[in-house]
Amino acid sequence: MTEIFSYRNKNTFLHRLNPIIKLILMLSIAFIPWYFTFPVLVLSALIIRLPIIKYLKNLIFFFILAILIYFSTGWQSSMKFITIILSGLILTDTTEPMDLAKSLEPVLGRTFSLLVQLTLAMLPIVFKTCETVRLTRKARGERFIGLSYLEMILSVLLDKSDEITLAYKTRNVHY
Amino acid sequence: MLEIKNLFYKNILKNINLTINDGSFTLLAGKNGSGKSCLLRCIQGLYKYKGEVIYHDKGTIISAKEKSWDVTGLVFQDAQMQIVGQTVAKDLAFGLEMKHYDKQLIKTKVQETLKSFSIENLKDRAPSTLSGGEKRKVAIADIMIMKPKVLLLDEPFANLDYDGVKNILKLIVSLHKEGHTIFLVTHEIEKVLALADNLIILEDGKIIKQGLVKDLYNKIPWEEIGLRIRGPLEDQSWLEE
Repeated sequence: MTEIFSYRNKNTFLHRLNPIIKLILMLSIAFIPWYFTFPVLVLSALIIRLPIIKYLKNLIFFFILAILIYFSTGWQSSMKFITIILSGLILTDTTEPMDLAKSLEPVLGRTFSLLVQLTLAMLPIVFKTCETVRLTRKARGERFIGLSYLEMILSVLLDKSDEITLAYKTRNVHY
Repeated sequence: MLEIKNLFYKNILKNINLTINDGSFTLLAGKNGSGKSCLLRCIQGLYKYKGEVIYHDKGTIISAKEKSWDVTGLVFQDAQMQIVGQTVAKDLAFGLEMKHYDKQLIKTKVQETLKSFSIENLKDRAPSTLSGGEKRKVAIADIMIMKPKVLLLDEPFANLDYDGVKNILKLIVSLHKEGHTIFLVTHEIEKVLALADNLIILEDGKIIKQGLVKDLYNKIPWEEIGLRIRGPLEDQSWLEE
């Protein structure tokens, strides 16, 4: 199953476009009527060959939300919602999170940009820890994930955070 | 030459004095909890210790307390923790970016390092998809790209299979042959003893033995200090297989 909102390494115009410009374009979607932006986004999705079919299973949740919005506020709002989701898919598909964080440096400052980069770099460790904790508990017969699961993850991650801080210092991070 | 004088850290390290010559291969051994990893972290300047760590560079004295990142480079036991970039090439570039190197220079240095570590094929791979051995190799390359005067390695063979150990050991030997100074911590001393020049044994935070491997080998009561040596010192045949 392909993960949605994840980066794919391709060489298209949108992949090469400056992340800041892409972010501004995405934010501007909120202020432009959907019937202008939607066709452009669909065209962009076709150009970058966004694997919508592979994403379908993960997108069901958003489709349900779009239907609920349709029944509560009408089809205009529902289409606006779909447009925003599509723009998010295109942005994450064509922009590496680390590049986005780096490009924010002139706007938000070096320390903040580095903070975002290091947080993103920590995600695989967090996911791996969650999976290990889940499997160790499953191996001991636990069937349902409860609050104690979160407590355990937090405790393991806090233990690791000191180690990670020291490890980053060896990579010349002095902030 | 790296010199450590009267180093104390909490109740863990007690009066550590040692000298690491340029181009040498030093093996630091000891039981679990003897303070090996702690000593490496002090040398790297990650822990605040009492005492001095200085590097003598052709008449100039550099204090590792102030410029530890120019003097030493530490590779952690858990390689994953040191990996920051989303691809191997970007990860290699990270340390140099932190040093504010010119973009073109970073690109050149990354290419050189990928080539010298024979990891060009991993260039665009996400570090999370690499094997344990490959991650360790990338972590060593991450540190070596910053050109430290002394390479510190903390348990470089931990959690590796036979081939992984062999590949990492071959890499360390080749770095040593190129003239790099290696300071390696392991409790699996059998694997590296024959390749190292110097040996330091740490027990309860104190150095109990230090000197040339060939001089100490027959004098150390290995079993008594909790270390096991099975084969003869010269036996390196497994590395050549």
